Amino acid sequence: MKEVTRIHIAKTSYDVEIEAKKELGRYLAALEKYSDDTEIMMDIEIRITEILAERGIKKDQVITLDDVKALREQLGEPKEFKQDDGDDDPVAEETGEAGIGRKLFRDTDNAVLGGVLSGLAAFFGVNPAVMRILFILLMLMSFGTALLAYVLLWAVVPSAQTAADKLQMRGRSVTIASIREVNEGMVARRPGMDIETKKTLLTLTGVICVIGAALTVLFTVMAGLAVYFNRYHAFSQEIAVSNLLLGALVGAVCSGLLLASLFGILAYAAFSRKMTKRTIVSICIVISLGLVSFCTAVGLTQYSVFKTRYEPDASSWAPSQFHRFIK
Amino acid sequence: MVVVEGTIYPLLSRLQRDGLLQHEWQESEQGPPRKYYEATEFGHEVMALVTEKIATLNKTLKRL
Repeated sequence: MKEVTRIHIAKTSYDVEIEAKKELGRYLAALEKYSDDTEIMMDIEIRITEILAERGIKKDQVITLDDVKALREQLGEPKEFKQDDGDDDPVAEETGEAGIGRKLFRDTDNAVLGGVLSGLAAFFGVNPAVMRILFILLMLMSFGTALLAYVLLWAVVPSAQTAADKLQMRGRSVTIASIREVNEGMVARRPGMDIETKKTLLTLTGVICVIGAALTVLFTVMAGLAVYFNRYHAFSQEIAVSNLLLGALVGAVCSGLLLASLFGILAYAAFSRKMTKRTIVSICIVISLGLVSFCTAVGLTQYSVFKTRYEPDASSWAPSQFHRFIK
Repeated sequence: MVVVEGTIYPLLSRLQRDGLLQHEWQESEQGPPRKYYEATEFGHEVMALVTEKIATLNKTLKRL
């Protein structure tokens, strides 16, 4: 039989194995360290007697090491139930700002049009104005084809809608604190255009587009008719009006009408104050169709000219003048 | 998350210190007397308020 000694738990006396007593003593000491409340200690002692009773150990019976281990497991380690007042447990999951790559979104908060450039600016970490100036320069240098790239990006890149999107756009880590910052508008939001300016600008764009559409239609129809009815008189030199040239005329008129419908779509978008995916897709289609028909017209004209030069009796129509007119 | 039995004692103690609970001793047939806790009037009030607050919070979360 193991050596025993006598202890009191909650004023109840027990016999206890030496090993078990040491273990129990360590446990109670640890509990006392975490809680300075004697009443809690008292409660726990009472609970210990109850647990011991459940295990069949009543007053004056022997507590073994196994009993102590069992009740320690049931009551738990002190650090598992220490009094936490909320502030003694610093948040462990601070991920830090580095390490999270930026994601490309359209920054619709600071957008002038679709937020593509402000999104790019956020992505590269520069001021949107820099991006805008660069883009205008690019437009001038590329004769407007940069606009196509813009429209393409507009269609492809999603807009930053949730707070998480907006944070990832700037390469910041998504935490509860940072999300709250975004929602309270504390993340440095560079002033975009105010709504009144935007409205006026959109209306102006709409009006210009409507006028542009009307003028383009008028010019296309007039020019098309004029060229068609005067094909024998005005340019009656050495080129005959071949089917090729008629095809070129049709292509040119088509591209004119497509340009007019492009203006129409833009006007619609400006007046309805929204640019949906559908609008963007139709703009892309109209632009590509317009380019195709325009290139066809130019190509056919050039081809006729080429043919006329080398087969002089095939035509009686001045190619250069016709070409100039189409253009 | 593991919740051990010992968690209850600091909680009860704090609630009693804040006046939400009161306790009385009752003799036990075996072993030491036992503590029986009961919510005070103030405790019931607080409970009603907190229940309401949690319900609102749940509703808000569901809407998100």
